[in-house]
Amino acid sequence: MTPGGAIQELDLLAYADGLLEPARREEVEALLRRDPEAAGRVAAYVAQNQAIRAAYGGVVAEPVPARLLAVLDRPPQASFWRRPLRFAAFAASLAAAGFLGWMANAPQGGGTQPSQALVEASLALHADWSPRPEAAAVGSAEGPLLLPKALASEPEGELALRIPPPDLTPLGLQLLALRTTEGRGLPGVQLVYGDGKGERLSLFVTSAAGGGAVVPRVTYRSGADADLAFWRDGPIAFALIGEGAAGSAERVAAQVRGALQGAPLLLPPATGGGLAAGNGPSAEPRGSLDDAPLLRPTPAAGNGGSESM
Amino acid sequence: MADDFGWLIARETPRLRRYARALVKDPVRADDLVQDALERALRKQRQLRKQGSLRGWLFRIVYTVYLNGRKTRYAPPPPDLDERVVNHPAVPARQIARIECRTVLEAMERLPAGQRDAILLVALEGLPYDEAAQVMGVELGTLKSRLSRGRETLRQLTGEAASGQPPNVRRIK
Repeated sequence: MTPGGAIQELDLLAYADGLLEPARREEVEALLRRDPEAAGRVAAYVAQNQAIRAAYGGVVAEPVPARLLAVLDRPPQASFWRRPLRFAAFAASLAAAGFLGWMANAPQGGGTQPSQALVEASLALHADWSPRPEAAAVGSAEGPLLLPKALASEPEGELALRIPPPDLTPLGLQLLALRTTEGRGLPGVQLVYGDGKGERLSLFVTSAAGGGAVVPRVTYRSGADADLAFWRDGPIAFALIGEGAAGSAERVAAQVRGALQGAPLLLPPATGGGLAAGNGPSAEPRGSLDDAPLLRPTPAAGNGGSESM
Repeated sequence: MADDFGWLIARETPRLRRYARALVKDPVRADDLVQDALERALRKQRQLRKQGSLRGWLFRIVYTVYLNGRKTRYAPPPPDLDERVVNHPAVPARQIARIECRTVLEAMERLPAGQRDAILLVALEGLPYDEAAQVMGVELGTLKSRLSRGRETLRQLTGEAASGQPPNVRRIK
């Protein structure tokens, strides 16, 4: 499956399974255009995949039987997962009177209500971010994102969850940058998206205190200058801050939740802790990126994100 | 969930049930397999520290538990005799897709277990080849070989069903 080499049976298999790199994929597609038998073979493999998925696809939509949930509800054994997740204290002090008023009036959501500190820190960091042309690219938008070690529940655990940056290109939003916000009042990461017209949106991913509902509930707020959305999914808390046309929080939140719903969560080896961005599931944590946290994504075709880094 | 580990596993449980259903077929026995695997995962959760993929780790547990009990606790029920409907002339058009699907499934049952299980991990669960190899505890080359042979056999078997004779097969170089 090496680009430039002769196309083998395994290339056709990997093509049908959607596992080829773009360069090799193009080579295979060129072969398929001139070789009907190869095209038929690939079509058969794709049909096999579709048939197998169609046969069992409905299982994931079935309610999980109570007896299985009961297994997971049993008191946990002594382990690094046992204690509630630690949550570092926030230091943000931004005055956000309008949003604080919203919080005071918002219905209580059984753990889904964002903390005042999360609101304040998110707003401050969103306002604080600015493109930095001098920053070096450190990864790919398709690469994984590490949550901070605050997700680990024991100091020596240094466990983190790695999740892929949500793809918001269907909404016309390009990922412009990724930075850790540890040391900036929020132990998490900030992903900055732009619509190519100067409007920005920030997605903050951080740890929530303790466990939580599997299905997140989203709390929205539309202000004069920004739309906001907050929700949590298990031990992960999300905050969205958007401006103007880019800031339709409800629309973007739905896209983010959909993108992450089926995404595999990776647990990187406990080597460095902290926060890192990598190029793929095999990338090792690189330690804190506090000082050079920006990520330059690969521009998506047909979507002119013109905001420079 | 009792803790965050439970939340993590619960997030993957629907996929574990799907894979177990494909392995075992019978829904109740498949959930028995998942339950056994979840209990094992909870007992072995410290192993997760050395794993890169939670999903792969859980699939590996499901597969290991399945191998240990496939001839006993999770043994499949007798073949479904309703498959006679496949050649029934009065089958409505809307059922054709399902019949074709079942034809592939029938062909899957004629594959060696290692080939069938490999195809399920990739085709059904979308695992990358290296991760599927880890789940099955085999080398990457072995996994690819099983996939290649299994896929080709499937193609021939389903081709036989459609045309009455196997298609002319040529390996692509």
